[in-house]
Amino acid sequence: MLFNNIEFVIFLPVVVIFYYLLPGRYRWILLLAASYFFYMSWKAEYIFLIVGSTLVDYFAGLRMERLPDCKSRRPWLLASLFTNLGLLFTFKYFNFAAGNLNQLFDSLHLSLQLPHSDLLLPVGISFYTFQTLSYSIDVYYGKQKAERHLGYFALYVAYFPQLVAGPIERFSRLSPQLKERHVFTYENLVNGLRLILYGLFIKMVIADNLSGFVDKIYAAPEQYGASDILLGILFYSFQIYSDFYGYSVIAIGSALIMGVRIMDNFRTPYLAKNIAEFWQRWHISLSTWFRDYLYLPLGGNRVSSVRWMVNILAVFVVSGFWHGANWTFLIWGGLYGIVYLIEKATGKLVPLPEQVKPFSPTHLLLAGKTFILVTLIWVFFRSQSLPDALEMFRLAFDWGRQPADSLQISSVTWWMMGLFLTTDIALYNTRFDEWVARRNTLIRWSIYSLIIFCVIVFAGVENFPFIYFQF
Amino acid sequence: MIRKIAIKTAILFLLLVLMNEVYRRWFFESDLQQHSPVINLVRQVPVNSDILYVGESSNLTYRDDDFDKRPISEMLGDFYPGLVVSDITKPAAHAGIYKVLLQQVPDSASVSTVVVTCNLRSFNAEWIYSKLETALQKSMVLLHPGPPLFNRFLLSFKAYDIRSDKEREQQVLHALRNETFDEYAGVPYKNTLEWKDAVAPKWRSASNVDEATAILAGQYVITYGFQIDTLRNPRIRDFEDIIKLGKKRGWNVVLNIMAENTQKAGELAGEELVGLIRKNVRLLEEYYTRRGALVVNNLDMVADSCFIDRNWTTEHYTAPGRWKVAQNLASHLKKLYPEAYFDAQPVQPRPEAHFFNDFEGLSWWGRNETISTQTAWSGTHSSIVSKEKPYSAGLVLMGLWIPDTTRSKVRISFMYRILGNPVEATVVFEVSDGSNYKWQGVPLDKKEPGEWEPYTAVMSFPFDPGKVGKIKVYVYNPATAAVAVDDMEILFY
Repeated sequence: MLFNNIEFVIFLPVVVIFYYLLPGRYRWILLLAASYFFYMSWKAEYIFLIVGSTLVDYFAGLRMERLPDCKSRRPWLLASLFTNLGLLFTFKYFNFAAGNLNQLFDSLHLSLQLPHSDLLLPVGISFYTFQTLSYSIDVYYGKQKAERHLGYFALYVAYFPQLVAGPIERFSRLSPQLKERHVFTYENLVNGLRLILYGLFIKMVIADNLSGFVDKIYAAPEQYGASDILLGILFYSFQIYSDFYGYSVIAIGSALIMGVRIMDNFRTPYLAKNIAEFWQRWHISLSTWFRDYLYLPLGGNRVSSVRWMVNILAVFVVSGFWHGANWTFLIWGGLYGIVYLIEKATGKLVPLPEQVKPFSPTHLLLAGKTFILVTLIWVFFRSQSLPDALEMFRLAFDWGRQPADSLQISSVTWWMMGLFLTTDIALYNTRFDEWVARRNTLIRWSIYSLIIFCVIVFAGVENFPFIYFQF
Repeated sequence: MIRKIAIKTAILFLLLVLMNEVYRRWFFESDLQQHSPVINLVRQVPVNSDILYVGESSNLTYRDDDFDKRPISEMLGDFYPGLVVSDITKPAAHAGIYKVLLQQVPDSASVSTVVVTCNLRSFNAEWIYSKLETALQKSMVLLHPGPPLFNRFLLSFKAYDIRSDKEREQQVLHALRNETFDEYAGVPYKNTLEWKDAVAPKWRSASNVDEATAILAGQYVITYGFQIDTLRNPRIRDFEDIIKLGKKRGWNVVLNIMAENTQKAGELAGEELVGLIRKNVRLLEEYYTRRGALVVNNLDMVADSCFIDRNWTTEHYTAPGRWKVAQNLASHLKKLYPEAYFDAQPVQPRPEAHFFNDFEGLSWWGRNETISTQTAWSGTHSSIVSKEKPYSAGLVLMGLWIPDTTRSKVRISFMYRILGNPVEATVVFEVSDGSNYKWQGVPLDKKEPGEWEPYTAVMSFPFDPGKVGKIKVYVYNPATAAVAVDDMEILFY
């Protein structure tokens, strides 16, 4: 079940109606059943992975809480880490590891060969494993009390709006809200619907329409001229942004209708002045996860300069690897680390003013620079292999070729892109529901009408699942 | 708060009504052309049609050496020269698709009889769960009854049976494993897969048989080794719905059960399979006759030699096969049109050197699927070629069908119009001497989009007159941008 499929259009209202009809103490049962049903609509048997991960972390949490110090809790933390990272390794990284090891064996003339696994990657495995890991680590450090109610804990792990692609929520933030007996409010309903509407617009109208062009370019770049390839690279920047941002906004809106406030995952990232700011605005829940559970435990910036640089690179490379088991993701993450360090170094040599006024020439210049860098780095993320990525760059700057084909982009696509960019700029440092609430009734309803019309009439008709589902 | 929500919901409803009108006026047609171009097949049906033939690839598939390349529907017209016989032909379609298409036939059309192709294979798991089904279902969404905006909403939110190829394969496998046979079927196997696994090895163990034959034997079982469950098979209800629609619209509904290669089925998979095929066909005959349809049984009408595909199970017949089906259908239609029947004879090859096609009707030339109403030099139709369908409607004939004295040169002339940029269109003259093909191509003069232009090329035969086998003349364009071709004239001299 996808947020942009008819099943969800029916599923969400049904869940919401029963949620408010049920007495507060039984709501977790409904939400847990709905969440498991939501997940099982992809591949029913994979629900056992979530249940397994839930049980291990639930009992590990209880055990750790009873023990006096970190040393005695460590075996239980390791059990949690082993289970969650083991699941990730088995389903996501095994083939990558086996493939590379087999190459190594070949080069060493060893007759060893590891088998290839045909297991399908469970949707959202990287998200829910990281979510439960954060709980285990917090309990281990004594920052979080263990949850005693298995049902609420299971709901924290599987809460359907953010189960398959985040935002990755912390237990301390999400669980109390799931326990709260929310009353139906008009404001939550309207704000939630506003967010869902905007999320559907950017996913279905922007991302899904761009994906057709991007897929063509990345599938056979040699067929297209340099300008089309550059356009494809540019479109991918907007496709992945609108796709993931759209998902996150729909997730936030769906939860908000039920009174649950999920953290924001995006804040106009393409207007960031540098890479550091970009990562404060892009996939915020993952960036903060890596900050809290990897960067700070490694020592953060309270270490020597060399060690700090190593820490930065490590965090970005691991973040890349989290996205996918391919060298392209490692390079993608590594490049961010390098650019981050370069920007830090140049920032010391050429210091910028403390406060850059939004949309001032300095801001726009810096944002343009960041956007170009991010767009080029996305090529590694989108390409199937390293040679493919390098070939994209070669072809993108080879202006002498005669293309066999050309992209036919409709005027509606350009209009929709324009509309999206306008709204994205207007939403700088604010959220759609807040922004639209400040307009008068006529403007508000004009905006609703326009977006509803666009979602119905200009949505892409091919079934493109959300990109981040594969992670 | 409830009042507030009710008011806002009412406003939203009014806005949606308004949006529906805006969509219907300015956007619906282009959406139909983009996502449901199949609608054009219905629109091409003349309003004065008397008999409407609805079918799939069995209607229009021909073999290159067929002199008469016309579809079954057009052959049927030979038997009723006083009636207008038209067709809606959509390859890979089935009753579920016909149903939606027939709903689109305007009330103003004078159709009195609808002949619906009833293909036994369309009841099997491979067809029901075909990989083509997702695209077919998607192309039907905008055609459902209901406000256009609501249909577009359903299309945007993917309200049709979306499944990946892998899921489709699993559905087929599940059906083959789990759909069992009852006593009536009289089959000594638990399910189709078990049957297939019993048949194919018999052929593999025969020393003089190749692997392809063993695969084909297995395929015959997969294709026909099923028992129609009238309660659960979706095709059953689809045909029922068509009969109901026919009653509502005042049409005579004729179910034309297509011929299957029972001869080959018996040879490869045994008489048990042929017996089951006959039982299934009998069931369909009885079931739909009871529901008021005229059922025409063509099951054994076509001999093995008249099936075009030798290594697969299809209902693609050569010209004599198509004629047989048309003839049998025509004789049954005498019940409805006793006065209009004419005892037609098949078209015989006659030596001819001059050929002309304005693409206004389905002709015996072939590749009629490229014919479109998008643009035309004369009349309303032309043949449009691009990457999707790169070979234009063109002449395909055997050398012996043109006089000996005219097998030296060919003059090809036509009107063409470039519709986009860039095109790579070439006029092709292809000749075989039975074993070798020789191919000559001349690119079109113009490459830029513009108005209609004349074109003429002269090419020589690459073989001696006595050696000329198959001849093909067509326009080839593998580019994304399209080129339209009209009024093609070919003179051999």
